[in-house]
Amino acid sequence: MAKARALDKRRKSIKNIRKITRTMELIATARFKKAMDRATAATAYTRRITQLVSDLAQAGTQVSHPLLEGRDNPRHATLLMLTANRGLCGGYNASVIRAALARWKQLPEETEHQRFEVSGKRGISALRFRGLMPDQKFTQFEDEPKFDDVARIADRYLEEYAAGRLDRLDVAYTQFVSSSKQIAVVETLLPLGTLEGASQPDGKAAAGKAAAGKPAGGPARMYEFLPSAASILEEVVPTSFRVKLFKCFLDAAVSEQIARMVAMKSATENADEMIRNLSRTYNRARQSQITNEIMEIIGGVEALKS
Amino acid sequence: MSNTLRLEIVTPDAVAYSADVEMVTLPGVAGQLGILPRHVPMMTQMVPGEVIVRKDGQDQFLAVGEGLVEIRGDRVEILTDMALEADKIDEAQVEEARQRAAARLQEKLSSEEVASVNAALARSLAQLRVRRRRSK
Repeated sequence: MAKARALDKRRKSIKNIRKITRTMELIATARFKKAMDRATAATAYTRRITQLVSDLAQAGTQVSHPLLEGRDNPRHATLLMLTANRGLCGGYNASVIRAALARWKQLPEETEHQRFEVSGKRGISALRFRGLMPDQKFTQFEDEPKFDDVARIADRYLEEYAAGRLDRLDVAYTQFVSSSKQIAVVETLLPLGTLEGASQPDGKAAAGKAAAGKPAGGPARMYEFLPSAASILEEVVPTSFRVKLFKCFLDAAVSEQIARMVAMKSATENADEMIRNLSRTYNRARQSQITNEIMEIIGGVEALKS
Repeated sequence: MSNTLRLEIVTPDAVAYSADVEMVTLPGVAGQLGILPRHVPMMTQMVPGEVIVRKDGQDQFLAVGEGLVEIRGDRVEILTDMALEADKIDEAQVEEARQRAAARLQEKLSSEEVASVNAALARSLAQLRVRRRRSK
């Protein structure tokens, strides 16, 4: 009897765990949809900025800005790592941390001073475990990062860059490619390099254009600028940096929810399988126990007869 | 030739406004700009303030933040960090935000913070102005 009861107890606790993982899966699905909607809404803005830049370039404006050009000998580098506040999302945090640490090891060869900034409790504790101290920690970003919060961080970077206290900014985050593919990447956001749509339209800019339904390479339009093209560029460049950083945060948030959804789905499936196996073993144990009892009774009757 | 403009107001969070309208008045850096269909292509910067949209003979009011405007013949695109329709503004909340920002300006702040508080203040003021003037 003891064995059957122990099996039953285990089965019950697995059933409870399954309830939890199943609920978490559903929550992650709901959050993923919300995060996805926000990310889609943000693309409208990104696309318009790209369009604006390409129009600006087509109108014959020289697209140059200190943020676009790299410094000859970068001295101060910052690495920003975007992780989740919570675990239970499969390899999501681990792969971002791995990508970030690989870059972190490279940075000293190229720059003199490095700063490590981390968003998300998971990343912070992973660094602590490795004996690294993050220079700046953010934990306020949950599944829907606010543009204002991200813009504040972006403005700080812009200020540091302008003051020469920052020459290079790398961001390690999980890029959202499609709902079945997310990859951990390290992207260099500062200097911005060429703006999308600025010069020869590369693949991304072309895609943005196609999506906006504009014929590529139309005749140059003459624009009037108020107050001047230069001052508009002055505003476009920081804005596009802010938007890029915001996009990183959004991508990370969406990817996190997907990762959690997938992890919880497989956890639920594993629980299902375990329950099935345990049920089988439990039934077998119970049956053999009953058989044993019957045998004992029959044996007793036989003994009395003789 | 069409007699309407396609107006789109886009913020990082959403497409806040999108419709065919007859006229747009917006707060440019060099003063108010009224834009009618077939306006000359133009790019300009916008300051926090009020956008007036005339649609089907009726005026609608939106409070906007800083931003960029691109005008291309029959399209007006406004890229801004905030856009709120007049009747969606919560006056009490904005007033509180304004007071908070004003109070913070009295404190000692780094120049970076002053800039961000000033921006917040300008945004709340724009919202309040639109709200007080336009809602009954």
